[in-house]
Amino acid sequence: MANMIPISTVTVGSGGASSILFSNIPQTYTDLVVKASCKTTRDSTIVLLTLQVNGSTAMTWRSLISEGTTVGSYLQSAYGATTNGIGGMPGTISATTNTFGAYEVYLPNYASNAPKSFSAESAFEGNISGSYLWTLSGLITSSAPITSISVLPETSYTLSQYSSATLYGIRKY
Amino acid sequence: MTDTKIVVDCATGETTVVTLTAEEIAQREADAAAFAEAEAERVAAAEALAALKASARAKLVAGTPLTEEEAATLVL
Repeated sequence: MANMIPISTVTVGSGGASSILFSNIPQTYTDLVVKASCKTTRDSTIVLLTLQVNGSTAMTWRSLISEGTTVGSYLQSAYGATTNGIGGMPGTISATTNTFGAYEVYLPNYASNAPKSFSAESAFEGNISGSYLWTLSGLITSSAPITSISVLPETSYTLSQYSSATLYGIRKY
Repeated sequence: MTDTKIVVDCATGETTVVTLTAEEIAQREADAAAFAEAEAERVAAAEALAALKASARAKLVAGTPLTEEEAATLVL
């Protein structure tokens, strides 16, 4: 049976933060998992939460996004490598004042010397503006073992206070 | 507000709040500009497609010929 062992947890303080970076990740686990609860200071309903591995965005991904709004529900797919979005993140409009998005990224075989696949899923309820559910699969094109992981809002937006992320190591014994 | 990032050293457990360097701030600004440009292109393309579809629908209702572009929005 696999064991899921917390490596480190970070909670953003009162000033906000541009990113959360887990560095010097031990190479002693089989897989990694990142669980996060985030929102952004941007005055908007939704901003992408993105992923960087070893300081790089060199990855491709395909996502399935389900969006429900007051006028209907939508399903769309996307493919790309520019934004590396792992999910939508609520902004600071009044309807989402206390709303944080939930995110999970699973990175198997992260210490290998080969390109690595990963999966992610996330969801948040935007109250009056809509709710979003993302599932995606991706490929990290670099062969280097993963030693650092960042989660950060798209472009230059900021993570709000109380956003948090935890890095777990998976041992399959 | 000063731009900062939170860095956790998983080997030691030490967490530090680091002020972004001028280089990192410049990169963020460049990313923001690139994103704004890409988003503007995406919105423009979506609006152009919607206008083309509306035009195609109106011509179908009126019984007037569609352009090749308009027909492509309706027929696979």
